[in-house]
Amino acid sequence: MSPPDATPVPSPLDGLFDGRGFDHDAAAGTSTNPAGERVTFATPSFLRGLHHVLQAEKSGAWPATFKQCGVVTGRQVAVGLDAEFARRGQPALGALPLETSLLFIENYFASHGWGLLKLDLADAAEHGLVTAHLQHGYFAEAFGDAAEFVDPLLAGVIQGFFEHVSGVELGCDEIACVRRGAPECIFVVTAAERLATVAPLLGRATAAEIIARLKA
Amino acid sequence: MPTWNEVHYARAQEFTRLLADALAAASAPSPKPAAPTPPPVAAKPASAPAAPPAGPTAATVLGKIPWGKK
Repeated sequence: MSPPDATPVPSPLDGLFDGRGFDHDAAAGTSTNPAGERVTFATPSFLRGLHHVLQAEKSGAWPATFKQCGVVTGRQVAVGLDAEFARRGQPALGALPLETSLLFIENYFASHGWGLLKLDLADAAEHGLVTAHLQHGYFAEAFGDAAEFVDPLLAGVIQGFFEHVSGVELGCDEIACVRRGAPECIFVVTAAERLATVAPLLGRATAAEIIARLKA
Repeated sequence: MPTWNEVHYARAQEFTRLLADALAAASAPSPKPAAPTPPPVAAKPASAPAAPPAGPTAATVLGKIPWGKK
């Protein structure tokens, strides 16, 4: 007789981020992520080329462009996850416990190769700030020759996700970047008007200094 | 025949125009995001619906954060 099975009961959601990676159908010429969404790949050379073209066509426009694309993407990611949960008879992101909901966006980053994201809500209740720490970020590696903040797309994704789950219009800015010499990329989520007050400090002050200013 | 770089530069230029259009559209005043809605009911759930979480939900917790605190 085998011992009682002590393994956790499998969840219908386990398949979304279980590390299996993407499925590739060479015959059909398609790839899908663990949630079954169609995906394709943006190589570092493609991103660098796009960055250079955007800079050449309209210098300085690419951060705002990528940021806005990220916001839309973040909302769509959240909507897509909700649809998948509904299909599986599970609660939507907003109806899940907070830790579970946030874990999905962290896992989404990791499973799509964008880097290791860690969300920190230690300053949320008192100061209205959420910070996100990104290690091994893809853009920081792809834009290895840049000396600027390179993650506006990911800042937008984080913003869009939080807006969807909270139902509140928010802002998210990168306040430290590996490409600017920081040990990791750091983002802060809060009201957009509060972020505007520290915009002059971006690139001139450390993340700790910017967060301290936001708390003051 | 155009080179590989020329082809992809042209495609990137077109993509840039599309992005610029999207940015211009996004710059227009937009409605606030919709408040979180209750989880939709699946027509044919693949499994039994999960029990509602015992504690506060993510929407409740995030909705109470003083985002605009001065």
